[in-house]
Amino acid sequence: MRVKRLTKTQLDIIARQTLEKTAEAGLQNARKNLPYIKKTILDLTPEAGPGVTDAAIIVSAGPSLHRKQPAQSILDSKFKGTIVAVDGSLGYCLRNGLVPDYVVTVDPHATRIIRWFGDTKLAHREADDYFQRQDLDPALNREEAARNQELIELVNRHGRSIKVIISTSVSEEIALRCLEAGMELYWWNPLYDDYDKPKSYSQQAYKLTKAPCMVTGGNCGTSAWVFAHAILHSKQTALLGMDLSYPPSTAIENTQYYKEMLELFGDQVEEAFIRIYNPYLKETWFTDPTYYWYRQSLLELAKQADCDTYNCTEGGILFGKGIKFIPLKDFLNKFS
Amino acid sequence: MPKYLKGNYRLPKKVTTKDNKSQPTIEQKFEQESLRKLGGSIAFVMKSKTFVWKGDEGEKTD
Repeated sequence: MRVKRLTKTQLDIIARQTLEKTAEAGLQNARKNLPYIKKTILDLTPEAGPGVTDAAIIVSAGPSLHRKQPAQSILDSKFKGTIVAVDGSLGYCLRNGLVPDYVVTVDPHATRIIRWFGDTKLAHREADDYFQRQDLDPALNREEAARNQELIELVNRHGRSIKVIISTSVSEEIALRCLEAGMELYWWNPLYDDYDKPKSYSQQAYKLTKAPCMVTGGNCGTSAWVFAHAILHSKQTALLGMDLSYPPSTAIENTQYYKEMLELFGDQVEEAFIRIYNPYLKETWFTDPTYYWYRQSLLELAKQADCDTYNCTEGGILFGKGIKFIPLKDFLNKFS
Repeated sequence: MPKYLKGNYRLPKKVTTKDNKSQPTIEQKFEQESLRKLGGSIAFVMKSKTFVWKGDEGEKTD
């Protein structure tokens, strides 16, 4: 029996588990980050750079980013709007000459996230095969040390042109690495839970840091979309690499949560993935429960936002009310 | 099945059919145990269209 869609109850379970997994860790990181919190996302003004914008492109790090290679099209179009990258796509952007105005980072993981910025301590880390398996930046799958060094140099070269939209939840090492690369840091807290509850994580994070709390949608890509909407006031926002799923030909061993899924479902693991037919692509992509939660969350948020959202990923499963699924070239023709 | 098969003897023990209760479906497994390890990158909540909460002064924007 295959899992087809998740019920609201099941999605709520994922949300609760995510709170358990990340809120305490995020708050602990916030305490360590206190010495570096000088400016928040509310300090971003038009004078401070590309602040208020009519159009923005969110460069997320799903597999379509590497299948479609959109960087050159953006550069050729002379797009005047704002480019917001997620941490996982920073390497792709810089390797392809697309220097984002902003890069968003939020995940509290202790050792992995720093790799997106070039990890100056990689040689001293414990072995972790995640980067050999992940699909967010396939360039890092092989020759890890060499590609890491390349990324360190790219981030150091372009750091002064990039503002980091940095969540208090990230490891202190991210803050230090970004400062080392000359990046400006603009802080925010994840809106973890109900801020009307006095002991909520959101309240604690706010009282500790005095940084505003922003909706995340559960992941960095959606956080970047919220940032473009709520802080940059982008009225036309394109999404790239926002697959929230895997292309039909992907081996399940190469999916983000494969190890956890295998442990949980054993020989039924293949059935636990959710298949979704995309009528725009006329293809069936598959996703895991967590990415499905991201998808449903972003669809809900898009309905409530006072902006137009264009999914220009040209892949994946993000379609529905509030999302216009169009090719990137159409968006660039319209807004460049 | 009982409509078509009738024995002419009585079993010493009453036989009950198994309704796969010992084998939870994949959906049941999912709800019961699985989501613990499948949490996302970061928690979130959305309340009354508030995309950014600026703190105690009660100022909320989108």
